[in-house]
Amino acid sequence: MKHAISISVPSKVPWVGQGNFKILPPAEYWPFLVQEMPRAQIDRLKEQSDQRHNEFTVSDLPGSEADALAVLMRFASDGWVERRERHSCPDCGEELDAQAITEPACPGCRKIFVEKGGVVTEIVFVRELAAVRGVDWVIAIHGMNTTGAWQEAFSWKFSTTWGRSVPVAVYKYGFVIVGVVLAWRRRTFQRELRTKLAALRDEARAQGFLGNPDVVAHSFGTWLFGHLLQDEFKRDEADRLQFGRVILAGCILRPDFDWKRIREAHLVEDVLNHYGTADCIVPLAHFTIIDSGPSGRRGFDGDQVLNIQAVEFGHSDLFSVEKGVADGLTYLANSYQKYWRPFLTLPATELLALPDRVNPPSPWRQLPWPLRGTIFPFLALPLVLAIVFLLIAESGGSLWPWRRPLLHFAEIATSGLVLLLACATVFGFWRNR
Amino acid sequence: MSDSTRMNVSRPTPTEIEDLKRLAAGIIRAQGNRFVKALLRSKDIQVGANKDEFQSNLTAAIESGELRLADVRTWLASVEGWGNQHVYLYNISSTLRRELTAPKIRQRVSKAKLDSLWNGETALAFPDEPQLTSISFNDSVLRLVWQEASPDWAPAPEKNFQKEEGLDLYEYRAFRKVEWRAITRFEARVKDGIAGLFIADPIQGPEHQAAIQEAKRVLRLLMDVDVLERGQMDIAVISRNLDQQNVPNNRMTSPQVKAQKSRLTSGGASVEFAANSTDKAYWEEPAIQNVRNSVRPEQLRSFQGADGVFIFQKNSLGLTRPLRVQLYGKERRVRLRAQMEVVEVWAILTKWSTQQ
Repeated sequence: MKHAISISVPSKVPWVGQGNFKILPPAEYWPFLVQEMPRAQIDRLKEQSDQRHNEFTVSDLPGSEADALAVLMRFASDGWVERRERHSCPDCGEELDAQAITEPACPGCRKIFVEKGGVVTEIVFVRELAAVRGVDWVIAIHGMNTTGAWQEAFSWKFSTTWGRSVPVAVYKYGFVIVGVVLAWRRRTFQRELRTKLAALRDEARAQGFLGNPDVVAHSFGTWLFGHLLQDEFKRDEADRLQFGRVILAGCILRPDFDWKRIREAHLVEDVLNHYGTADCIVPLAHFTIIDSGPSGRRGFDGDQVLNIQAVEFGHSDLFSVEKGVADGLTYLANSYQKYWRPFLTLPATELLALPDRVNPPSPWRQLPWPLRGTIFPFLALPLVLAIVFLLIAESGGSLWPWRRPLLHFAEIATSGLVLLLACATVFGFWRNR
Repeated sequence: MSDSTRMNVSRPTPTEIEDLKRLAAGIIRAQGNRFVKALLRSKDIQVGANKDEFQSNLTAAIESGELRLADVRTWLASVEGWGNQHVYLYNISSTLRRELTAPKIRQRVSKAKLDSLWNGETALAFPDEPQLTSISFNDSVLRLVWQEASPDWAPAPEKNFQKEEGLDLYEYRAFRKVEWRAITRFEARVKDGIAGLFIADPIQGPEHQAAIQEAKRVLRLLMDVDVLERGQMDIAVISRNLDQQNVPNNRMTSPQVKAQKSRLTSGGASVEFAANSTDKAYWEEPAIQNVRNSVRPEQLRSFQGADGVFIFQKNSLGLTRPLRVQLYGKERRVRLRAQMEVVEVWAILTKWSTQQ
């Protein structure tokens, strides 16, 4: 990832001067501080720090002022914040800069400072964490063999926990099995997805959602989205769709997918690939779908994608609201709180702080060409069709004696249909006369 | 400055030296170190490490003729009375634009018997009362300048003393007079379609309103002030739009303008977003940004802007440093919070005219 700040901090004392104004203190810093300072104040300070506050004052902490000041001074001497004096006019309250306090009078109200009791000074402790990233709206794209029940759960999770309205556009293309293995059907799905996303973009902009949408895609949805991005290069630059950050789960794109080109063209910002080590579906993709691979089982090669490993997770486990982790969270809540939400909001410089990043140990090698995407379209599908035809042929002889009653049924149905259409026509004329 | 150049410098007259020293003692130093340093450097004069060296180098440069009155006049025109002031902004309508031409203005100046002020020189004027000292019309810009000697008093504790009179003890506290001039300006940039009335007097006290009334009295002699006032910029809308356009999203992560404070009003209530530090935007605190983002541009129509403090970032609008300005929607007033140069002031004000 670009602009990464590596967080290398000693695990033991001394911490003095080891801090950095631009990053959060690591988790191991706080237990160390608790050994020497009052717990209640450290807990509050940690809470505020984790919420990415950029300014701390004595009054923000519980307990005595002297203790609070000592804690903040320690925080400063360890290098995580800087002590600053903030000056203001005793009369009008206007903040004064370093030059203004050397003047006799306030530049705002022109009152002489000494006559009003002198310049007011407040001590604050500040740092310079980068602003969090804004999430404007989100698109969820489901996978094959499912209607994407996770999309509803995910959308609900998003809308109830973000603290403000973040619209989630749930894109559905229906329950698909055979269509996935047929090249022309895949292209149709991809074309329809592009049309829908372009319409959503225009609609969102018109409603004042000016940011790029972030994307969450699962399984076959990842394939559609990845190939949609590749095809954007065929368009004029001004006409290309652009997206924010992308979360992939159960991904079936090739592990050597060219994310670098896509990111450099600003089609997406950053990509998180959340893969399950027990995903049994993803490895089949390379055999059944042309230009696919097991990135949802092993991660992407290269340094363009954040590969997050979910040990022993299956194909759709990350979205599960039935299964849960040890601390009572569902798998979906755990994925969302621990990985996805931070990924969507952290500044680019801090993305490498996400936990459980594991890249593949060696580059992916694709299968020999006769095996790439051939099993279903060239073998399984013809086999299934042959069996159906064989069954029809086999049962044809036994159906022959029943042809007269069947024809009779057909005549009755046809007469009824004609009669219905005639009535509808007469009724239509009667209403419009 | 090289020796050969020094030799070519003609000696200043004693009067010029005296004028310059008077300016140096008050007006020059009052412009702020940043601008004075720029003046000295432009003339290759050594700046000095502290205030004493600074003053002594300035005096030496005046006496040697390295710094001349003409240099100071040009420099003062670009820095004195720009920034640290209140501004009322106007759009120049097409009707008014037709009236603001050099021949028509010149004719009206004559008719008002103000010829003596045409292209008046202002550097050495120290009137005790606010007084119109110059009217000019150059490059489609109408300029009017009022000046008033308005000394500041700096505490001089070394001169304090106590005196016993009878049974009572009296303390006498000393203040040193610091020369300062209050400048009121009206500038109409006809080509850009913007005009501004710049008042240095604090908003508190009667002087501010008096300066406005005086400016309008003179302007009535030159143009239809009612037409001008009908074009007064709606600062509330500018504040609201400027804030909205600079809330970061994932396509614009570093806005050119930081909103330190923005207050949105709706009917009889308001909501205010504000950073405690004058160099920060309120949206730099994540929780506050989240709340602000909940107000979508479409919903913004329900709100009227009110007060706002904006920091124009370095490198935006060609600025070489961050500059703070404050907008007062209700009073349709702008406050420039730092001393600035004329180009900085107009870069910012011109930008605003696009935010209405």
